[in-house]
Amino acid sequence: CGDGFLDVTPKNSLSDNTFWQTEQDAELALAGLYENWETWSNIIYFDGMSDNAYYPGWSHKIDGSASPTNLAESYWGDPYSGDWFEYGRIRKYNNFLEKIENVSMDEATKERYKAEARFLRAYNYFYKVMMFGDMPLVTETLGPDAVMARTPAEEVKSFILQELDEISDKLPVQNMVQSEGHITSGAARALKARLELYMGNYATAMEDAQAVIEMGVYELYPDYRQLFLSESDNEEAILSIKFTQDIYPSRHPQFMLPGMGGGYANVSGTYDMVEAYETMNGLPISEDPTYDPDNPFENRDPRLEKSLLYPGQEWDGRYYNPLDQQIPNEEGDMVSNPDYYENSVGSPAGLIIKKYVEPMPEAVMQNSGQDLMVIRLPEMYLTYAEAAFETGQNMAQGLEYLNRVRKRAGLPEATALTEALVRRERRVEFAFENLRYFDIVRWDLGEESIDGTVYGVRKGSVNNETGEVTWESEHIILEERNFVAERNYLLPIPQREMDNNPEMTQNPGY
Amino acid sequence: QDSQQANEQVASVGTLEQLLNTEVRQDIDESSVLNKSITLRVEQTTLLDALKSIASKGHLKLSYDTQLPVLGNHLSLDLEEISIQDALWKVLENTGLRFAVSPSGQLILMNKNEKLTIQRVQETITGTVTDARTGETLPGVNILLKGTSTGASTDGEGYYEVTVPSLQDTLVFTYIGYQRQEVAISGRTEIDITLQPQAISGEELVVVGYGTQERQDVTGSVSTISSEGLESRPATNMTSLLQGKSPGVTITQSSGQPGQEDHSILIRGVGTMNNSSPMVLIDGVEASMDDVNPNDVESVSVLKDAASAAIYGSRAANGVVLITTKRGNRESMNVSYKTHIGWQQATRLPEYVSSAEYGRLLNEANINEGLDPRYTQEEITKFETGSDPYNYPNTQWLDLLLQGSGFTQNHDLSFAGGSDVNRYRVSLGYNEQYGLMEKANSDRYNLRINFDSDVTDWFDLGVNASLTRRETTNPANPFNSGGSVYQFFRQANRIPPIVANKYEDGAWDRHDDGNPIAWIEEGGKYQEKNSRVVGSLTGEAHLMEGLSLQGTASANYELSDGKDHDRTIAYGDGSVQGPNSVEDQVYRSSVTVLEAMLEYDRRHGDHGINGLLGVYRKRELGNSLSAYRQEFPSNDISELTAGSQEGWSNDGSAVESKLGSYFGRINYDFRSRYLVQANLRYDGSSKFAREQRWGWFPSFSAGWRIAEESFMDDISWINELKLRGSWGKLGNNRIGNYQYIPLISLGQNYNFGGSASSGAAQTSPTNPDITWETTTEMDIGFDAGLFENQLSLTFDYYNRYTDDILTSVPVSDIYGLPAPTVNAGAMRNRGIEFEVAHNNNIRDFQYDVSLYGAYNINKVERYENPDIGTSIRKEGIAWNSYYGYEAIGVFQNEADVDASPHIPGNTPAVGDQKYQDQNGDGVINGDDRIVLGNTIPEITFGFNLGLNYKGFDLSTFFQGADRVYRTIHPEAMWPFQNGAKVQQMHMDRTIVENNEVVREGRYPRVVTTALTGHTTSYYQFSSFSVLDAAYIRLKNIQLGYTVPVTWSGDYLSNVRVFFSGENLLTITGFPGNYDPETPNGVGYPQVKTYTLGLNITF
Repeated sequence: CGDGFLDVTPKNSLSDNTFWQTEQDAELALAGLYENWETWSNIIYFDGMSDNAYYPGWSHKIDGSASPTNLAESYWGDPYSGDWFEYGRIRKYNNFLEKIENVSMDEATKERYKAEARFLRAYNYFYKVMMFGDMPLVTETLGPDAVMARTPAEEVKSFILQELDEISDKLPVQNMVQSEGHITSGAARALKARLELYMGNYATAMEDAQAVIEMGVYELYPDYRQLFLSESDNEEAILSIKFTQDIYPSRHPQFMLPGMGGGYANVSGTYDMVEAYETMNGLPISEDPTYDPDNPFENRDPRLEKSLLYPGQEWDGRYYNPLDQQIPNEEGDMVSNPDYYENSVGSPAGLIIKKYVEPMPEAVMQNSGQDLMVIRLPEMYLTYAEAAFETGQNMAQGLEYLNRVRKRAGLPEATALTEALVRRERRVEFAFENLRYFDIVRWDLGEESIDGTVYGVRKGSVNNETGEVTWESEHIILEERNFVAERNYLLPIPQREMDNNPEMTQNPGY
Repeated sequence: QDSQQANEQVASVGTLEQLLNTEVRQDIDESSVLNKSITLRVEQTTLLDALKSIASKGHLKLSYDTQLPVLGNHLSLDLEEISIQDALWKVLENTGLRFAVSPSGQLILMNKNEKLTIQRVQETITGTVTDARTGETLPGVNILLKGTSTGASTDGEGYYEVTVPSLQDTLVFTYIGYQRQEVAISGRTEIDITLQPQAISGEELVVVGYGTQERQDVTGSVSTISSEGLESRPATNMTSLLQGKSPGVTITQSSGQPGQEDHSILIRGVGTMNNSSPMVLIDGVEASMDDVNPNDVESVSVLKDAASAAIYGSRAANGVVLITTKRGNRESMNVSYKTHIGWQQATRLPEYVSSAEYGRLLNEANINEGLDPRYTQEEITKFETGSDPYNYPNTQWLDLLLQGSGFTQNHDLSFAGGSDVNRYRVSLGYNEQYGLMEKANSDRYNLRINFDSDVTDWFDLGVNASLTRRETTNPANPFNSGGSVYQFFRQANRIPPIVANKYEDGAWDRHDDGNPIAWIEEGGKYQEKNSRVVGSLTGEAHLMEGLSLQGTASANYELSDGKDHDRTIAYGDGSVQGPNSVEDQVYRSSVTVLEAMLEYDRRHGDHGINGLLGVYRKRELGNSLSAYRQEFPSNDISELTAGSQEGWSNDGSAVESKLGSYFGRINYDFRSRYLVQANLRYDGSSKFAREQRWGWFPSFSAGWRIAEESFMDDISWINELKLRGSWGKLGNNRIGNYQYIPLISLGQNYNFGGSASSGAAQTSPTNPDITWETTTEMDIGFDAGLFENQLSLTFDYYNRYTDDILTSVPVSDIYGLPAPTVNAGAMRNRGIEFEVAHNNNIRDFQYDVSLYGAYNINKVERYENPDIGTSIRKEGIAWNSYYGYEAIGVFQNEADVDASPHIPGNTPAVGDQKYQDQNGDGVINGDDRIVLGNTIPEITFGFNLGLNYKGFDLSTFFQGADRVYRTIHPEAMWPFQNGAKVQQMHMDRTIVENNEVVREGRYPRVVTTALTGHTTSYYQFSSFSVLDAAYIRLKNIQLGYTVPVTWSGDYLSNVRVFFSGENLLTITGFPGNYDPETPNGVGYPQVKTYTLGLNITF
């Protein structure tokens, strides 16, 4: 019936039938794999699931109220935010690995591309297994009717370790500056070290960490503050998300900056985090008699001042003041203060996470070119140190590595490896870098670190002329968290999957 | 002997006058007509056709009794150069019939053997007949003495004179297009009559798919709205005008924003899980209803059942709206000017509490959560007294926002006329609307030219051209693009009264997202210029008697040009919203259609046959293009070239789809009494793979006009009674394009080494097997006209089953792509519709009332994998019903909290919402959710009342819905939600003291979300949030006055002034003063309109 009249060809997209032929197609597809492989909010907000930070949007994931229906958190501009369950990226990686086989191209390049795809897949499964335990291990593209039972967590972990092991030889030994954002051999070994550590395989973790350190392409960046800001594309990075203004920007500054000036102050540090930093003397505050609770931010680990914006700290030509409802304007009239902790764009804890932001015009707050660290060299040092402590092997080397981190921070060197030191150093160095929650899980600190009231700074008043703070005794209360031990630190399987996959089972306690 | 003599007299002279008077009145000379010489050749023709032929040659109008059996007799004759009189006698030979001719040219047939009572007429009655609406005199009105064939007709001045045997008789006045009227003479000799134009009449032509039918012959379910029904109501667009005019047609307007009213039209409920809106054709060309000027519309037909719509096949599954525009006639030029001006206001607005009240409630919320009060008593007093208006303000944001005039004006000018060969109608329309907020306005210009020409006696040509230009301007804001004003209203509805609009020095204050008043006054604007040209050319060749070939080519071009200009705004706190930016967007679309049709229409005696064969081709193209730049050197510059090259971007895309069809139809009737129709359409769509592309869509319908049966003759109060039944199958392909082709999307970019690397990935699922969804509908109904058609009834029952619905069925996440579109679902809509109309007049007072109602039940019959959220799509339940917990009050005390089941992980407090544990398992979880209400109204109804007295007319129109539920935006539903404010309705809350409920209100205890964003118990979706949205609304009331012709003079033939009010009164139990028709809660409100208008015809 004159069928030809009705044929149309898509005008905006390529068709699968004509794609996957040339090396250029493979390049296009590879960039497609990297798009949103990880998102800024997963890195930055993640500590909201721990005692380090408070992010109301994710509170339900940690305060005991998580349920199969309230889990999903889609964040505008950040498509995979808080959703570690989804398999969209897994499909992309699997599809790439299947289709690239038929592309005629340079074999070495093809092998490297495949290794990159396998890394991204392993990285994604790492979060899946950590967050949900047993998860369906899908390694090929499936049809829409597919249903599948959960693969035991141990099997998923072995798969990840095996993959990382296999690809680390196929990837170049480069830092992130050299690789221009591509996955490297170091990234594969480092992620493997992280998972081995989490699994308690200390010997292998130490081995992998050492291998990364010995690659010789990574170097500590001297300035702990700029490391995360304008100099974030540096040789300390083992794995990072590469952002570029206008082209592939990150929107995180607006969500983190104080309300005055146009930020939303979505995520705050907790007072517990403040207390975790040592004094300048290299002692915990509880052990240092010079610590003055009424001047809690003085004489502290310099990383505190570089990571958190607290009341009275100088910021953008003023003293940050989340404590007073009203502040004087330029004419000296008292006007309402957007940074006030009870205001919707004020930090509810009075503690802005400063690590990733500096003052900037509102216009570019959602157009940041800073890279975001996912794995950096100190993690290998501290992994080694922790493994050394746990195994009792290579203690001196472990201490030396740990002191490299402390030295860069500007703290006195430690003299011996202790559990408290290893754990504290890790918490402080990587504050708000998404490692804390998994540490709580593997050290089983739920009862101790999660359960109970979460506090912000003490109430009080800031002298807007001098920055001097008059503290009241009472702390700001952020929320009440309820740790449910029977859940085994696992999140609930989303209800949508329970409804759609008859083979799926729910995690205990939900 | 007398009788015989009379017959001979009639035979010899043949005038009506002589039937009434034994005296021959020579002064009336009809012999000139009867003596006209003609030629008549007929071959096996019916008697009736032969008589019609003679009548037409003599320019006589044939009147006869259709019950006469001999009319169907066949005869053959060959008469040359014979007078009409002789020809008539020849034809009527041996038939027992004779004829008479009236002075007005009526050729009347009557039974020769009927005993004619010849009597001397005693009385003569005179009078004038005028049009009830316009006051014009009516020439040619038939006046009959009831029960006889005797009568007269009015002359050119509307004057009549009739002689009657008795002053106790009754006269019957009939005139085409007017209501029949019976008047008892009651002893009078002078009777002036006004005739009411007729809305429903046996000879009404109904526009149906590819043609017209007489109302009596329609076998499907078709609602029509004539221009009289439309003209009386001023409206800025066509859709709102159709609201409530037809049972089963549900029209909702979700916003009152000028130019963006967002109408949704549903015919008989939601028929599919996809686009459920009906197909709209304007003069046979698919178009948007918003692009026709209401004043250009002659009639609207709504094809509701499958059989009526089936000729349109694939696109008609949700019904068809056929709009016919006015055309010129063979008269001299007629000029008409219509205008109205009006003012709009919001129908209902939420009532917000003062800042002092807000502060007190915030304190209560903090205390409820174990926190310190937010404000001291001293501060509350400052809010209360306004002593420090900049730091302790009481800002009523909605009042600040609603500063627009809401003024509208409308002007229409039309010229229509023609000659024997050519007819034309040209109309110009202008409409201007200002919004409820400043700087929001919309202008529309319409030009329509309809031209018809009888080029030769076998070829006709028709041209339609319509140009529509719409210009919309709205203030811009940093969060919306494309002219949406949503954020203005959302923020004005959200920002608490404790935030000042301006500082003391006049600088703008702001809330989180800025200040909507600052955006209006200093922000940018969005302008959209939309031009649409719709043109069609139709040629019709009459090949032979009854057979014609028609070809149509039409094109519909749209060009939409949008410019979004955002300015940088500086606030008093030093923050700056920006940068300034400009985005230009151009959208172009074209729809081209070629169509050819062969039609046969002929009556063979008792057998009426109409057939149609057609072929159809359509191509749709859409192209979009956009470009963006920011950081302009000045806020006042809005052309792209001036912007920075940093951060610039552009985009473009295109889609194409095609449709091809073959279709046919056969209508057959026997004596206009038994009617059948069959349709068949074969459609192919580019949206499906080759193997799945084509679909067959047949339909059948039948009607029985019971009133025409002889056994009904004695039941004189039934004028019309028709039983109808239909069955048909339709298709639907309204899904996205290319879904059967696996697509690799571009633009999946990443950044390697600081530069963009183009990326590609499959982001949308593929299903090569998708094909047409099919709708099968059965309809049974009847139409009745009773008591001289003063009472009319229509009733329909329908059962519509839509199968293979194209929808995405939820898939397991492990698939890794969004669920593909599959032919997966089935749903059924069943319902009844009725309409009762009555009209009458009591002397000079005329009235008409009509009531309609529709009842529709929607049920999902097949949906393999239920989609469950706050709305549910599952077998056995109405589509998209609300789904959640059942709220059962609040926890009264600690003991109540401890004893009641909870949501796992949530520890509720006294005064929190409590939910029913439906399955009694001791926990509240997903298994305890129930269906909370349907979103599609089950009952819709309307009521019209019209009154006429002399020149005055009053019409009112009520409309409503029942058994329907709605929710409102969470920021409107709950106090303090997401930093939002508090309404009066929130004050009716539960108060808790010392862990005991001391006052139970409609709302649970108040909490703030700032500190407990996840207070699970509070915001669970439950029956508490599902609100009964039943309502009755006075949609329109109108009072008009038509100036009598005697005043308006020689040049004006008609002058009418009117006042009209839209949405003036609403009765509903919907809470919070939200509009129940479309309760959005935070967007542009629904409006009411007051209008004054003037219509003049020259």
